[in-house]
Amino acid sequence: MAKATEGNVVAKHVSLVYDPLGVNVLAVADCSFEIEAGSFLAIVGPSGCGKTTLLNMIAGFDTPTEGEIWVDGACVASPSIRLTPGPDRVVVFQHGALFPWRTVLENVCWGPVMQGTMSRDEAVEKGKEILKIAGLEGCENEYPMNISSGMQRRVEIVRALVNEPKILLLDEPFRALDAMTKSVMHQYLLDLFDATGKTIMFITHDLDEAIFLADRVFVMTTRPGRLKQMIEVDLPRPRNLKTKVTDRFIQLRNEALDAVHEEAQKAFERGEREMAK
Amino acid sequence: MAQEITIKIKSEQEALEAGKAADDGGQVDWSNKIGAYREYSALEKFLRRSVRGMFNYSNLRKILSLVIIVILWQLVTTYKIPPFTRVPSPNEVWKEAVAFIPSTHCLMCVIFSMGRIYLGFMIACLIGIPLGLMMGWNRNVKNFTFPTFESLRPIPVISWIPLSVIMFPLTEHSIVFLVFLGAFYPIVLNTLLGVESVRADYIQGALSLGSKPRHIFFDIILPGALPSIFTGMTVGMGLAWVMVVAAEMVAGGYGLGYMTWESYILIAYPRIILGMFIIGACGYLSSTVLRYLATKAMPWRSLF
Repeated sequence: MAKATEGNVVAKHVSLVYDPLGVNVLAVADCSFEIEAGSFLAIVGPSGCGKTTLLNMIAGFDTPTEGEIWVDGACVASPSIRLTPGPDRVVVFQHGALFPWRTVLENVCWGPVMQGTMSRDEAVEKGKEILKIAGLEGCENEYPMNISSGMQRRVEIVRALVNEPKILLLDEPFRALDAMTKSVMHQYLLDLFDATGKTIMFITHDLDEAIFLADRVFVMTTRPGRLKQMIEVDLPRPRNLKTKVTDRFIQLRNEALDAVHEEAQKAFERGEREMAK
Repeated sequence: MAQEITIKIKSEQEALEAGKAADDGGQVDWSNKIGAYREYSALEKFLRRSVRGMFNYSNLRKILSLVIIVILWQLVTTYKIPPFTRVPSPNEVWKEAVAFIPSTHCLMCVIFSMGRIYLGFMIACLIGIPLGLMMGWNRNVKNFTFPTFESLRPIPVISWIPLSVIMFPLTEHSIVFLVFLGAFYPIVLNTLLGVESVRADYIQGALSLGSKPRHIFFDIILPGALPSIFTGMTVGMGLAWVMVVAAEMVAGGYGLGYMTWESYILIAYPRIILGMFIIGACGYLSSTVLRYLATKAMPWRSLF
């Protein structure tokens, strides 16, 4: 496994208040954590707890109200700097953001060609190569609507990888997939992680998924999102489906289950209260 | 009963044997096992499909509805039931069509109306699409133009006719201006809506892939708004025809609207209805052209 030397993310006391209708809502409260270069961090939390907000701050879409985020010694987000989302921190979105008006290959090549880092031919060559590794040969010239949702997700990850990002930000990428496709995608992502050694931040609300994939699992509280628990997952790699039935997996899962369930319950109850108002 | 069963068993056995025989050949020929199945010749297939395609019940009903309308029309005009006392019958309109459609006069009318539509619609697209895109793209442009746009839009375009006649000394110019105005509003509005409906994910995704604003504009906003732009153009085309006919009736000159109005003055009533039909056909033709252009411009849309 090629260990990456870049992609080290440090979040220092990050908070974000957002103000949709004049009501200040504290979305993320004082989060500090580090994603070591070449490691896989999963963030688990109930819906609306600020997971995506956290990711958006790293990606450069949202400005934190307080705190700073550093990637490889460069500040990428703080209240005082201008945000620059870029190809070093590529996001894969939960609803998928492949451009429907471009074919698979055009989608994959768009990033480097547009930035001018590669010529068209180079990008096509590289795109085809990575698509081949991802088992997506033969659908290069299809439009995204014409391939299955699992394939769309893989294309999207390939599209991110072509840019050689320092860190891959995955925002519940497998949410809309069925259970079977999901397990295939998990294996695919694990293989990819082992092969490339890219730093990955993965957001999910599925604890099993998080433990199965990640080196560390960061459990967030319900809004305002804080660090509730950090689980060090010491399951050996490479992992496969059998990992999920090992004693260690079940033990780790049981340790975190209560914490996650408690937060989910809180979020649920508060949701009811907010509706009752 | 018993006989039937034996027959059934026997036929099943036969089928099995036939299957075995086929299995020996390596290829199962299912057609042997299904009694009623028979391979049709290519001609037979073509005839069956096309006859079934043309004369299925659904299509028969569609044809029937048209036939009924024509029969009703013939009846009310023959028996002069008010308000159809002076309306020409289908027969008279048909005779007029045979005489008039091949004439140069008819051709000139179509060319003039089409030319005005083409010119006015083109100007509306050339101004309206960029304006709509800029309004959706830049908040300042929208703030600066949208209030004016929205306060002028409720004024029915037909009520611009007198003003446009004053504004433009040439009839031709005022008609083209009215056509432009009819098509302009829906084109701008739909383009704006199209830009605003582009999913934020696409824009964020593009930013995340390292794009500059111009890439987002040309590679995300423009194709994302394209379906809506074509909707605006289709609606605009309909209004362009409304305007060309209305303007020609008032302002005169050549053209289908003028021809229809002139027929009224000359008491050539069958030609009024013929004129209406020709206008309808031309309108249909132009929206077909637009639909064709839309499928060519958005190949990804045909897969939905």
